[in-house]
Amino acid sequence: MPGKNELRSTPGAVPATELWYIVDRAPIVTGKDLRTAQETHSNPNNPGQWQVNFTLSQEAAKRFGPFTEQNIGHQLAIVLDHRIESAPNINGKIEDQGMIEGNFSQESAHDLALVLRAGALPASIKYWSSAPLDHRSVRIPFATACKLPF
Amino acid sequence: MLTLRQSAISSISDATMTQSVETIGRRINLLGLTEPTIQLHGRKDNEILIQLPGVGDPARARIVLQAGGQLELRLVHPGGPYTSQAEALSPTAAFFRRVRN
Repeated sequence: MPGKNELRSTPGAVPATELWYIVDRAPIVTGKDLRTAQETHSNPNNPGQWQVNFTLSQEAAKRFGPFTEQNIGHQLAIVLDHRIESAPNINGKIEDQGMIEGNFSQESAHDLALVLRAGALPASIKYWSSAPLDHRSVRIPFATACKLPF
Repeated sequence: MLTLRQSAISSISDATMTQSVETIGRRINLLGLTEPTIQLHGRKDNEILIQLPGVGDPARARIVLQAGGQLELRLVHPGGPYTSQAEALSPTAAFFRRVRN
């Protein structure tokens, strides 16, 4: 698309459940701006529902605060690996905290928080093959090889 | 036509591989797995061999290691959401977006 817009979709189990949004080409915040990320219960009344809370660095918060203040009433897309996880409304000025809501179990929320804390991969990796480690290994083994698409 | 010098391609490739190994290492560390082996592998040095002795759930480890992990917050433009890519790109959607803006 020309200009400063891009198309992004939400994940859906089947194509019919996808929703498409037009979003700014330039993100206001990226994973590099995160200070922490931690999984937590979404709703105390529903223990099976989890989300990931994150905190921004001081520098990113200086940018994000005025940005959210100027865009109250608009939606902000939380984009994860080029897919929109959620698009909540900006109801007020947000300084340095946010959350990623989705259909998360405790395990998937924990793993996402871990991945965000560890940082993004510079390129997508392609899983190549896996094989048990050598029998001489003492413990139960697992080996995997990943191949970068060059 | 512009092409990259071979030395530039190698430099980009090396940096990507180094960064990938570092990121994978941090993820394995956060998974609490001890004594992993992460090494460059293959003739073209575009493969990474990961050995995880004692991992209890290989499928989960693979999901974590493969995840892109790229988070971005982007402002949504008014007018959506749309039920298809074609609808979002339609002249009608563009018209209503302009009016609302």
